[in-house]
Amino acid sequence: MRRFLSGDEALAEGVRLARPQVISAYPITPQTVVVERLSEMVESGGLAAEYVHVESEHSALSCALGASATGARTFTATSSQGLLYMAEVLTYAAGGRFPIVMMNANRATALPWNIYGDQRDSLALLDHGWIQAYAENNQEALDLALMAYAVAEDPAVMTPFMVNLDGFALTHTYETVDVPEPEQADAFLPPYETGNRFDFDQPKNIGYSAGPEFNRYFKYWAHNDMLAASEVVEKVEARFAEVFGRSYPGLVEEYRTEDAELVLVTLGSIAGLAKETADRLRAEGVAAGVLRIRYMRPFPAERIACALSGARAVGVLEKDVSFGAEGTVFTNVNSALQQAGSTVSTFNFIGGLGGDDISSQQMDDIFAALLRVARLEGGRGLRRVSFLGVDDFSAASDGEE
Amino acid sequence: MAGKSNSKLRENAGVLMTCEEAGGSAGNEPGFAGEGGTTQNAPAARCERRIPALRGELRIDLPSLDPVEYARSTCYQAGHLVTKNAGWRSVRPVLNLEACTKCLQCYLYCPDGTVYKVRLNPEASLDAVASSKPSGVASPCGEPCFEGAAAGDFLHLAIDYDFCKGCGICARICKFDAITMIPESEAHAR
Repeated sequence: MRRFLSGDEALAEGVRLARPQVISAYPITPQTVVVERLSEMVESGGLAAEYVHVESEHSALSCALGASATGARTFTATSSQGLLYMAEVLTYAAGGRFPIVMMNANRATALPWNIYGDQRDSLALLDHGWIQAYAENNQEALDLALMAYAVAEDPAVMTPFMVNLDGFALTHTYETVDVPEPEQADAFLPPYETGNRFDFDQPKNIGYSAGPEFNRYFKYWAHNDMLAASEVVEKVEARFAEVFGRSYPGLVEEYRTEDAELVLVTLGSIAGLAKETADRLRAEGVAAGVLRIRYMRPFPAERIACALSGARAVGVLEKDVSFGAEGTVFTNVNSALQQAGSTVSTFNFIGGLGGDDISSQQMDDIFAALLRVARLEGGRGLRRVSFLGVDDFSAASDGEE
Repeated sequence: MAGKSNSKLRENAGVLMTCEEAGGSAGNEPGFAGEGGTTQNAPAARCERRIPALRGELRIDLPSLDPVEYARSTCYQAGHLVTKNAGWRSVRPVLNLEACTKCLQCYLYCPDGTVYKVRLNPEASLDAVASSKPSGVASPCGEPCFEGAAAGDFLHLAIDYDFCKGCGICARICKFDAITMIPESEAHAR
């Protein structure tokens, strides 16, 4: 059924269709609507789940962890400082291999206090052992909620899954969304079954310690099973397409990158504007493309290198910066290119921080700067890392070097 | 892909997990796993020697003692203790079996469950011990004794030094001076 939903509402509909048995969450802007809708569904009987009102985000994920350890399908959601407050429990969930699904509304991190969108919260936690996916629109948010369980609970993966939605740009923006029927969802996603749980018949130790002599094996498998998730994502998306008739392109989306001279790499909702801009440039005779990263973990290094190595200039636009270094997505993309032996010039654009709008003009400026790099065969006039709205990388500054 | 990685790691495990690495005397202390029935050449045997404290009575059909197999979650068959955890102990309790009356106060008070029963019949089921109830029979200390103790279905108590932290609670609670705390240096000298 087609409905007009915000990203939060669409995500909540996807979670409803996945039939979690335990939901534990603490409200935080801009995630709040997700848990409001889910608690209403539980209250009205539309969703047969235990909804646990916890006193903090740390408790929210701890509760989901305990519930998952009984074999229940679990859901939680958070944002920003709430995600950071959960950080300790993120590694427990990942190390214990509990396939919890969490929605994170991407939001700025304090100080200064700010409730609006950027991606500094989730990208700061890339190393905590969770699969991380980024939705571009509300339909994808709903669909990711369903696919997240299928991927996370796959016996070859058994890794928790974080679905990221840009704060406000997706969470509070309304779009037409196709909401599948429960029968379809049930056909796609069977009930969760696992041996990784408390069991009276087969008593288990859960969460034991492993000292220096064994610890590496646990980390080895957490790493390798996350890598194995790459194939599982594609398998799950193929099944999703069979059941629902909507297909997804795997860990990255290559948009007109085949013959592209310029490629802008980005993630989340801003990819929409990037694609529109690339289309316009194509119409003007400039071979522009966009590479949208859908999954930051597992990181699709090979596909990224493959899509970028033919370009003459690559930009990475992200709502994030690792202070004292560069954008974290930029670091990851550069690593992928270096491993593949590619020497394409790359430039980092930091924008959209604290809800700052990335304008159509700024997007034009980014592509224009990349085009000058490509045509001049060098990086003249363009810094390696530029802040949108702060650094001037317009044509006027080109001759400064 | 996973299977391929698995076999690769398995080869590594054979190289990395030598008996020297296994921590020397751990397997030779009384009451611990590793002393028999396995050959030292098999990788699984090496792993087993490294895993402490599977007290004789708890060694029941573990599906795998190889971390290559089980390190994919922290959820594992109960009774399987992965890593010995006593490295910071500076004094250790030594049990004098002559003075011990088997009143089980140390057994009950030990916060880490490291006091254990060495049973007459190691094959006896754990349920038999678990279902022992106070019998009302007066013990030398005047408090109710356990049926199991009265019936003598275990020979004596012992202390699991792979997990004992040396806190001394057992020595303090013992009414018969059957437990003495001695410095680790002295224990090693012996």
